[in-house]
Amino acid sequence: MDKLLLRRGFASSSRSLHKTVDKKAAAAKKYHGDNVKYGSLSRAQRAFLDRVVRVDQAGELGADYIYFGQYTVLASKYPHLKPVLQHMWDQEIHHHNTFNKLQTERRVRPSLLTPLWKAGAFGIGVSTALIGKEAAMACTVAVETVIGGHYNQQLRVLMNQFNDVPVYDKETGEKLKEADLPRDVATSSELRELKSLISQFRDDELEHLDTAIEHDAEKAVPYLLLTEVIKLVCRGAIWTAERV
Amino acid sequence: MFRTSLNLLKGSRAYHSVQHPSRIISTKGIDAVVLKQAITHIPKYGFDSLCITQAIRELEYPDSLVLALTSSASGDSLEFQLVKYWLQSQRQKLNDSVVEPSNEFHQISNEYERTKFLLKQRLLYNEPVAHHLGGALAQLVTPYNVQTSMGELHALADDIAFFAGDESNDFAWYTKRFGISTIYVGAELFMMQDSSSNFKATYNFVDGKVDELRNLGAGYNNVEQWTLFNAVSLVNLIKSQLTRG
Repeated sequence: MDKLLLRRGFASSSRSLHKTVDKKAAAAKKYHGDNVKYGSLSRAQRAFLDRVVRVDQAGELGADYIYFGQYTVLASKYPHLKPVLQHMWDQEIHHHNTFNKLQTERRVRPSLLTPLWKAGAFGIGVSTALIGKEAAMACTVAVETVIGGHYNQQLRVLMNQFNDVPVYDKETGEKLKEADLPRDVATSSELRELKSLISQFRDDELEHLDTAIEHDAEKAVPYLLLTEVIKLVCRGAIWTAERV
Repeated sequence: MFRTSLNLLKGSRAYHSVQHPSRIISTKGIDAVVLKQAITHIPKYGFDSLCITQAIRELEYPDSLVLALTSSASGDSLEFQLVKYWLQSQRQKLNDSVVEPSNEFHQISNEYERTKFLLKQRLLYNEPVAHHLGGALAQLVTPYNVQTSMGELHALADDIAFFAGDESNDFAWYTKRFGISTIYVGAELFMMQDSSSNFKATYNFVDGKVDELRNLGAGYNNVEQWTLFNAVSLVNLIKSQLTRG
């Protein structure tokens, strides 16, 4: 036991000697993406990212299928809506594929209720489109409002709760202070890309919201009832998809 | 019940970060040091607390250090801690060997061939302790430990599916992992009684089983088998507990 302590004592003192030398060198050293190493995320942080990927994948799958349902009913009835719907649907397919890729790469469990989300989303798309094109647009308004808000909430957590991830010098393994680092190195590109991805997708969703309002969404007959019910369903689905 | 089964699915696995690596087993802490030494004694003593006592003596720690393990927050018995550490360290070893660029594994392109390779690699690690596996399994199926051991099994299946290159986004994700778990448990049971030289029969068993999984229908069957296996072992477990009184 004593021997061990002694060795440890030596080790730490020699390390602190190194540190003072390195600090001088580090002051002049410029840090960029390649000469730093990032520490591991905490359990809570990983659990949060796990939920984010799963719920966003399920959400984009839902959006994809809602537009699929709407397109099936409306495309032949209203040819002038065809390009509008097609454009929105294409964007949702792109979002869906992106999150599918992220899910397999980052080893996130897909939602267990995937078959239900598919059937439910297609059902909502078809049934609102059958009521009329205004109702379909009101459905888009409701869904995109909830999704936009949800993305914003995720961004808020990503901005606020991921600042304590340690950054180390790749060669010396010394922990670096945030002040010494340029802004774009302080967070890993992995997290930065996730943030820019989510904000990009949020902007796309809000653009769909504007498009839907331009196409008479507010003229749908029980507008408030329709949108509020769909919003409630979406929130319930988000709550479930995060967990199951 | 619902919550428990969900926790089983989660296991010890969550979001795999590319730039923020985290290891399966920690190397820090006195318990990790002792257990690391202890697993080297498994081939001799089996999955027994004797391994831990022996390790403590070898490391020249006082005998009372065993308290650090018996009073661990998990509340697991010494034997189960040994089994758990063994499983996790072997999983870590598999992970480390796969990311090595020189591994012949990278020459294989087919997903199922990769699955075969990984399963056999993992079973290869069992060879020195093959005849003590019964003791480990007895620990793993003890009701109090079942949640942890199932989590560990699914984590292994998830590792294998991921490294094999699984890209499923829907229910197939679950089917595949349950299939791999079934094969692994089956192979381990097979290995325990395998008398062929160098466990050739066990590896043939794995090849055959993965070929079956290749076919989606067979994959579906494996889930059924897995459920049945668990149902039967549950019944047997209850029976054995009842006879014990």
